[in-house]
Amino acid sequence: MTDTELSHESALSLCDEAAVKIINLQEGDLSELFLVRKAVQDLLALDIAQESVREHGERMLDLLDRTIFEGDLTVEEARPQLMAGLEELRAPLLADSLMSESGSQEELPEIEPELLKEGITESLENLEAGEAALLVLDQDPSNREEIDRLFRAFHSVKGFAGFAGMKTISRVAHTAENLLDRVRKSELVLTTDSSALLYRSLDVLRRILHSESVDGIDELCRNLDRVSSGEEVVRVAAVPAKAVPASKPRGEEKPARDSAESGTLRVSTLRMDKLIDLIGEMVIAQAILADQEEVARAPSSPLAQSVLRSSKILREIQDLAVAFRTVPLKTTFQRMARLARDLSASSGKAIAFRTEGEETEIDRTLVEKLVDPLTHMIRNSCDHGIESESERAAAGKPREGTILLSARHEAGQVVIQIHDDGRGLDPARLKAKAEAAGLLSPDSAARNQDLYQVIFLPGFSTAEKITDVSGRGVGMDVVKRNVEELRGRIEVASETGKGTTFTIRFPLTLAIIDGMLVAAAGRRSIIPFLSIREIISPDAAEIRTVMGEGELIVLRGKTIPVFSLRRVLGDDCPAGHARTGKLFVIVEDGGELCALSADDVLGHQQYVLKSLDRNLGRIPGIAGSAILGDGTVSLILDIPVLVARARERNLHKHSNERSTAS
Amino acid sequence: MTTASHPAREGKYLTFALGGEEYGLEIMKVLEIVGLLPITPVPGTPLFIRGLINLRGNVIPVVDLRRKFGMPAAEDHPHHCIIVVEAGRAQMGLLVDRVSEVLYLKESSIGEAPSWGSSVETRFVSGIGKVENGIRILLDIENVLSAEETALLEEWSSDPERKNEP
Repeated sequence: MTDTELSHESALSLCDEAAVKIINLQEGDLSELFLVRKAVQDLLALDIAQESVREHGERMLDLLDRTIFEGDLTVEEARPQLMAGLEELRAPLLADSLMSESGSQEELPEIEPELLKEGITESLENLEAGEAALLVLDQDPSNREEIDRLFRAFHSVKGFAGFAGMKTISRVAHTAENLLDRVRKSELVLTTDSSALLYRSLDVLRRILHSESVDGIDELCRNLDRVSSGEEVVRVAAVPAKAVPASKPRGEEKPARDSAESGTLRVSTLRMDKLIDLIGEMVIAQAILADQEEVARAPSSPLAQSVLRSSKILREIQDLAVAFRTVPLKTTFQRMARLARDLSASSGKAIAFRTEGEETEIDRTLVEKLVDPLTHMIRNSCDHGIESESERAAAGKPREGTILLSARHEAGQVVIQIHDDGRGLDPARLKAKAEAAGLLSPDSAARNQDLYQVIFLPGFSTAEKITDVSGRGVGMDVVKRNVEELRGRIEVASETGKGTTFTIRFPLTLAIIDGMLVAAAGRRSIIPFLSIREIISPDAAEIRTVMGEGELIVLRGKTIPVFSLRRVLGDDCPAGHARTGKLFVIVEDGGELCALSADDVLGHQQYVLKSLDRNLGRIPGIAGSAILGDGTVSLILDIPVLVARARERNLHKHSNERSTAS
Repeated sequence: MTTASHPAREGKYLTFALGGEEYGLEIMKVLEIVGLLPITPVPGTPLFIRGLINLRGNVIPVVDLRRKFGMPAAEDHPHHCIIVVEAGRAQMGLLVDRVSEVLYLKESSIGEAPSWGSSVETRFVSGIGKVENGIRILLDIENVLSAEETALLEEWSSDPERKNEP
């Protein structure tokens, strides 16, 4: 029923869309005509089995083709016929949609898909809250508040499942609730065993809600019942469980009040993304407006003033919209806490997991991409980092190992750190492993910091025994790649015997980028502000040419290599070009500085990032694209990659020259 | 040649000219046709990727079909068009010499692509459409713009010796 209604609704809106286009058609406007054609085609592709609609649609397509390709009809001639055809198409659709509306009133819908989806999302959130409570209860089993919270979580899930007719969920949630009710009444104390069962219940519920198949539900419920009936309590166990319904109204009241207090609104992310996209377009349109001669010439005119005012408002809207997309890292950190707890239990190592800065907010689209690398690193820390209890005792360390996961904002970036107080990286072992794997030549005398980098190379794993936790060949190289997908960097610091710290830095959002528009070789490109240290004009610096080829500048006593942006972008460029370059942009390249010579720096502004991944795939050196004020597409450069490639190219060139010279 | 083996070949095709031959594209794959727009070249991509265009706020890559098929390059001409297609999840523009017409081809008038050995990419051809005044080379656009091709693109761009300029 709902499906047909939906397709009727979209069919009608396709009709309207086509009508608007037909009315606005200009003579010879192939592209618009084609869009009308597309709309009609889409309409026919909709699953509405109706002969009359199909027939009219085909007629319209023929009419359009004659106008587009055969030139039989001019747009003026075709327009009335097209409109009439559209009207005929519309009539049966409209009749149908009215009919289905009246029809739906008689029939009670089972449950609306939208409602179901919302209920599932809410239930998953409840389970998360429950897990958070359970994690606290691990430390403090008698914490009254958290017991209540956990109870409410199960209770709300049960409520939804009852309403949606999901019997298994209802049953599991109900059984877990029974157990907790006894805890609430202080008839039972939470033990490791019972909390393990509750963890399992949360997992089972979550998996069912994700439509996964789950085994062992009967056993779980039996075990929960067994614990609820409790050995210390009287053997007549079935009766006290009946006490549950009495607490029902109270439990139901609470979540309702919670959501009212927070006053939140659920909006689909799709709509949100569309809004942000549109605001981005608006920013571009505004930039075009501000560039108009009438505005630029008379900055004090009322027109210019209102343009200025509207750009300020727009900027605020944009900031706000971006903030809508951010979510705290709390949930992610919780998942990691749970992971660490499980790993600690399965490996038999005592591990204390602490988090800091879990209120730090990041773009919601980044959250999912962060889970994999974090999971992997926590696993690594638990498995390779933290030593066994006996090993720790022998080294004079506290028996319990500590992992600290922290997050903070720093200069427009998100910084996440994972620190463990384990054995640390062993440079000698890394070196041996890397040499054995052929990743390092035996005679190279690498510094420790350089040696640490080998862990990020594909095919490197130091795990001596392969466990199910880590060391299955999926290594830090994958983590590094994941982090690079976030447009971020990963660093490692370590001290043998004391521990290891991984630091990940990435931008707050991927949607908008702060950048500098530069010109080189007739092209305009955008350098992300994050990689720019400063901009200098050449006379402020001293240019030196080394061996007639390589150029460098001396800036405040430091020598910095110069690359021509033209060459970096892959164009041919004579040596010595840097001298003619007007400006130098000093960028950071993996901790070291280098200079890019550009013809001109055109301005600094925010750009809406248009990803190329979907249509073109990832291109090394290009972070994405943006649309400039005049409508042309400009590339956003990934400076470290481009500079590395320019270096490589120079190397090639030199070796070629040498071989031709000899 | 049974209809069962190629159930989807019969249907409407958008035909276009390229280097003196006429080609055909399944009409359902075509999103729209636009004239030549300013194209921004992208370093580190193969020659056949002419660059990026701004299509009402969407940035999409343009494939120069002449270069893709190894034909001699042509000067840009006002007749040249960009056919925007959907291939897999991606949207791409195809730069062609001229858009011709929409044709309905019956299964009976579609022949198999002959084999030339390895010199011609037969994977790109889904069939040969026979019409009164000649033939139309029907392209399998999914293969022309396949993931494999994009993978090649990545391999290509990691080679520092090659450049975007012809």
